[in-house]
Amino acid sequence: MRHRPVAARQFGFLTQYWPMVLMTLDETTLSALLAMGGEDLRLQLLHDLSRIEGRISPLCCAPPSGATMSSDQLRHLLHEMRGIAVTVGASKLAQACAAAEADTVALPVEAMSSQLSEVVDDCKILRAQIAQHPMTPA
Amino acid sequence: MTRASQSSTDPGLLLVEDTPSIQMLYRTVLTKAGYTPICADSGAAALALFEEHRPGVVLLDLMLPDIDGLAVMSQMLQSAPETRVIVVTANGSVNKAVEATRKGAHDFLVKPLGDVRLVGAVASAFADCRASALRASGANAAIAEKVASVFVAQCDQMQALRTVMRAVAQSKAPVFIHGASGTGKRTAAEAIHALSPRAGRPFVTFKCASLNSTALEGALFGTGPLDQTEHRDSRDCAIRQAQGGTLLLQSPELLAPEHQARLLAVLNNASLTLSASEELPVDIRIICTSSRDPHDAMRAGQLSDELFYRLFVFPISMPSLRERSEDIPALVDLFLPEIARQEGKQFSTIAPDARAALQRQSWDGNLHELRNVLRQAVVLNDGPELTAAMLPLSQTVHKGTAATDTPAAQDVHSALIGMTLAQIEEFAIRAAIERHNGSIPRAAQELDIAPSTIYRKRDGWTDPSL
Repeated sequence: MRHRPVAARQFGFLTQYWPMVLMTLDETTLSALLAMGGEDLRLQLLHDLSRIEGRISPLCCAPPSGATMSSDQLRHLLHEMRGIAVTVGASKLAQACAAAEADTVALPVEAMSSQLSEVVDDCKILRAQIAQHPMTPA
Repeated sequence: MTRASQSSTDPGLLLVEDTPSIQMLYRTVLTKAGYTPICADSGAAALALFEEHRPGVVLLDLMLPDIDGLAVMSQMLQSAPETRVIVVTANGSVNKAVEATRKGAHDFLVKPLGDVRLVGAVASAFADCRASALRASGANAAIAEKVASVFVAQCDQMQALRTVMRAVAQSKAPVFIHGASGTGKRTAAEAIHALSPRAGRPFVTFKCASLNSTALEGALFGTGPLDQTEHRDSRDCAIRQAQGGTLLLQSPELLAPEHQARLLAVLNNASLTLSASEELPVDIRIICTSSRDPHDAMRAGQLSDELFYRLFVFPISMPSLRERSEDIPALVDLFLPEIARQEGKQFSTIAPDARAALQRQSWDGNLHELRNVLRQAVVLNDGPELTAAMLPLSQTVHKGTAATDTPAAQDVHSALIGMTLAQIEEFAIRAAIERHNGSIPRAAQELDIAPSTIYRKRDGWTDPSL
C-alpha cells in the first residue's frame, strides 16, 4: 500500500499512528528524505539495498547454495540494512534485520535461512516501495 | 531545518559513514545547513583523512567495515583531544554509544536521525569548539603577559633560572618548582608550558589541598580505580582535561597517601585506570609547585619517596624578591602600566625616589606585596608620575635596618592605613596562609573560619594566586 487514505491525509494528527496500524513503511519519512536528496538519493538507496540483498540471498537456501560468509560479515550486512531501514521508516524490515542480527551471535550462518528469507522478502518490498514512491518537491 | 552555517574560521567536519546512501543523505542535510563535510566510508579512510585535515568535529558511525568505531574514536582523541566526536549508532546499540561517551565522545545520535537533530548536534559541537578556542586564546594571552614577569631577569640568579626554564620546557620530564608564597611559582609553571612544544594544548591547574578525599579523587582521576558500578562522567577530571598538555599540581605533598600512590601509578604506566578492565592512555606533562621544600615534605613523610623521585626530576627554586632586588625597577615598569590600565588611571613614569624606596623594601610578600603596593598607589593617587610619597610602603614590614625597626603592633597598625576593609581582610588571609606554608586548611583553622570561606573570598581577589 503506497498511499494513505484521503481521511488520513486530511487529518494530519492521525498520521503518527498510521505506521503502527498497518504500514510497513512510514511514507512521510520517505517523502521527506526523497524531497531532501532527490532522485540521486532514491537511486543510491535502491543500489545499496540491492547490493546487500544480493549478498544475503544466497544464504537463504537451506542448505546454502555454496555461498559462504562469516557471522561477522553477515552481522555487518544486516546492520547496514537495518540502518537504511530505520532511516527510511521501514519498521518491519528494521525489526527483521535486528532480530537476525541478534541471532548471528548464537547461530551459525547456515542455520539462519528462515530469518534471512524474511529479511530478503521485506527488502524486496521496500525496494519496490522506494522505486514507486512519488517525488514531491522540497 | 536549523540553519547553522559553518564559520570560515571553524575547523573542518569529517563524516564517517560506510553506507553510501546514508552518507549521501547526511552530506545533503549538512551541506544544506551550510557545512562542507569531508567524507570517509571506512575506519582506515577516516583516520587518514583525520590526520590530513585535522577536523574539529567528527560525525562517526560506530559500526564500520574494517575497524571498530570506538577504536577509531580513541585514536582520534589520543592524537587530538580537543576534537569533538559525535558518534552515530543504530537503535539497539545504545550501550555502545554510552560507552563511547564515557571514552570522550562529545555526543551520540541514534538512528534514524532527524535533520534538525543532526544539524543541531553538529552546530553544538562547533559552538563548543569555538568556545574552547576563545578560552584558550584568552588564557594564552594572559599567560604571555604573566610570562613576561618571570623573564624580567637583571640579576644573575634569575638569568640562570631563565636559561634552565627554557631548557626544561623542551623536555616532557616533570618539573618541581618551590619557593615562598608570591615568588611566581605558578607563573614560572605557565612560562614553561608556554615555551614547550605543548604550548597550544591545555594547561590545567589542580590544587591538591582544595578538596576532601572523595571529591579530590573524582576531580583528579575521574572515578575510583576499581569502581565498576560507577558511571560518573570522568571527562572533566584534571588528568583528562590536561591530556596532551600540562598538569600543574599545586602542593602535591598534601595529597592523601592513596592518591599519591594512584598518581604514581598514572605516571609510571602512562595510563589512567577507569575501571578494572579499562585503561586510558595518558599523555601529560607534570609540573608541581609548593611553598614547602619537597625534601622536607619527603622527610616528614608527607610526600612518598617513590612519588618524590618521580616528580623531583627538574627542581627549580624560585628566589624571593629580596634576593632579586635588582629586578624591582624592571618589574615595576612591567606592573605599573598593567595596574594603571586595570584601574583606569594614567601612570607613565616612575620618579627616581620611588624606585629607590621600592628597592629598599624587604618584600616579605614578594611579587604579591609589590603588586599590592603599586595598586594602592595607583588607586589613591593620580599620575602621570609615581612618586615615593604615593607609595604606602609602611604596610610592608621593614627588616634588616635599625632605622626601620618599629614595634610590631605599630607596624601592623600603620600597614592598615589607607586600606579598604576588603584589602585588610585579604592582607590578613594571605599572611595567615603564608605563615602556614600555603596550607589553606591550617590558615582557616588559625582564622577560625571554614576553608571554603577562604576559597570563596580568594575568587574575588584581583590576583587569586597564592
